[in-house]
Amino acid sequence: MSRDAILAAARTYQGVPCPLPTVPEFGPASNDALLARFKEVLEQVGGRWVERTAGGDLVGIVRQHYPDATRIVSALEDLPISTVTIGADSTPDQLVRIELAILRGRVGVAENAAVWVDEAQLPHRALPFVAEHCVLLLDPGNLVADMHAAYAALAGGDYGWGAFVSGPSKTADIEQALVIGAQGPRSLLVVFDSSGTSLTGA
Amino acid sequence: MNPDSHAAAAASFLRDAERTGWHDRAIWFVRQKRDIAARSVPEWEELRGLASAIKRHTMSHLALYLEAFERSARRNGVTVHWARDAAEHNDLVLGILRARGARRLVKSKSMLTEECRLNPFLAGNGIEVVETDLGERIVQLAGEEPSHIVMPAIHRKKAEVAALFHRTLGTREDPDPAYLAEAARQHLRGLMASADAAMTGVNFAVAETGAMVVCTNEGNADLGAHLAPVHIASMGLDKVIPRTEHLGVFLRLLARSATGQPVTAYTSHFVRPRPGAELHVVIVDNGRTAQLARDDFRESLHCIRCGACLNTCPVYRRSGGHSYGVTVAGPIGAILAPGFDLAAHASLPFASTLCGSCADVCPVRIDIPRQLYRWRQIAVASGQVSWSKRVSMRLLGATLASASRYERAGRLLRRLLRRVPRLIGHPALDPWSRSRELPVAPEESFREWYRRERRTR
Repeated sequence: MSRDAILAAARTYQGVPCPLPTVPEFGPASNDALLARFKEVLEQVGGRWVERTAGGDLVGIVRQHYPDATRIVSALEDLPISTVTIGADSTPDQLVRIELAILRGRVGVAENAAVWVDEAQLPHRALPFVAEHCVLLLDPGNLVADMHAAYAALAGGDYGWGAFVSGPSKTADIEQALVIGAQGPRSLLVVFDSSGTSLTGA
Repeated sequence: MNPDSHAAAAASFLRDAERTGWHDRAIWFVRQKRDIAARSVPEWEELRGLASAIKRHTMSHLALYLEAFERSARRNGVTVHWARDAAEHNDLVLGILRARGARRLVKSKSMLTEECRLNPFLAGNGIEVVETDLGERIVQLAGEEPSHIVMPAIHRKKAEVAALFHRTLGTREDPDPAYLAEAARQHLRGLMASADAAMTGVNFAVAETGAMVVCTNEGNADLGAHLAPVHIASMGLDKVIPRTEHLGVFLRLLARSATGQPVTAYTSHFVRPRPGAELHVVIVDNGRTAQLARDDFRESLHCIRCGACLNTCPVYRRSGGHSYGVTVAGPIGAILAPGFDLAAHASLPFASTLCGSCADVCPVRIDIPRQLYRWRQIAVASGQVSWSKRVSMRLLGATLASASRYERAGRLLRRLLRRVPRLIGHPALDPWSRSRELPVAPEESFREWYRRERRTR
């Protein structure tokens, strides 16, 4: 059986055991510095951001940025702007016609503007990729400095699928020319929303 | 393949000097972006050291971590398959597709499936295969192989892509990259929405959790995998890492080294199948445990396929990926390929100046030049180099090994070269001089001058 042959070969040839290093913590930063860094990197990777003030009008923000969107899916409860309902059994045909997906991110990473989304917050895994445009709500209290801190913040979370999303879909496959909106979303808007409950470790 | 195959293939690439220069500059630009990204991380060198040590540890416990990954993946409801070689991998994939009656397969970029020649195999068995990464789709439509592991179509100019899309997709012949990418988007999204199965590669497989991490910028791996009823992930057995926390180290290095981005747009973690869908993983050996057995070359398995060594290599940039004749080109390919088939790829370790730039940029600090040098020794010892190289190197070795022979040879050559200037360095005999001119031979050597001066004082 191939499995046993491969494992036997690996065991025979893997050589002298070498130690596993400990990954240290790298420079912590203040929350203000994290937010400024996140915004700066997000702009570099082609994303945009807006701050939602306490009790601010989320629908207004969405309308302002995406005035023409009509087929809108919201993964947030009770957002009156949602026009399409998506579930685990939605078909590819239904999914690919979505114009705007409004989702909640769990953790944001300052060094690379990546926002973690996972199955627990989504009606369908395809949503962050299939929508023409994507809005991610993120509590600035859930920002961390780097990827080490991000995985530490996500530890213990039980998800069947999850992803870091950093800016919109992009390609530079034709002569290194950057094109925003390859196969996935053409734009990504991060809404800093401190009115939601903290989701870290939820 | 003849012993000079890389040089011969590179010569045909170099015939178009304008294109060679363009290729060189386009790829050097990526290297510069990498430098800026690396310098923005204060702990960059510490991360490289950690990455190297984690890989070394993992390889020295490979069986343990492969079994742990298998256990975790099975617990997650993932079907785990093992393939000793390309043929078994391809048969397994075809078997999964046939069991589901799948006719159309969408694929995100996977160098492993290129290595296994999966696409022609599936096409021959009636499966429609669609590459969904833009660069991969370009080379697929052109009937080519990728020339770069990260930027598959880097050798193609936009006007050529425009002509290709005009012919194959019916677009107008407009070389604007935005127009071409939009045309590909419409074309590919339609195909992904109607696929029967999706395939992806695996960048990292976490033994502790069974998570398979896939990095893309276009979002195509996720679109394919989340829309199709079956997802097959193909992974080389060198992709396993011990724990989730190690992802932090590798993901900070990968995209910065590859394209200078702080991270890819999408870093997806596949753990359990989507409700109602299937998730398979094929763990492939295909020569990797044989490479593990070679003490001198085990470290080549640490590679995370960022492509930084290709972008920095003066030979790669001026010879093009296709000149290597293997899936993984460039310096890393030149130390991997001889392990698969020394006779076929013996010229590749010589496609280097041993300048060491590849080792300087490698995010997992693989000592590529040392392994290139070792492969050269093995190639020579097993008679895999040309007659002219063997004889000239033996002659040069004998000359340089003795001070008196060196001095005599110098005197002789200086005298001969003054009389017959192109005696050596004749373009017909010496390839090195085809674009170089030898300086005029001096009257005497420094040592001769020094001895003369001492006598006259």
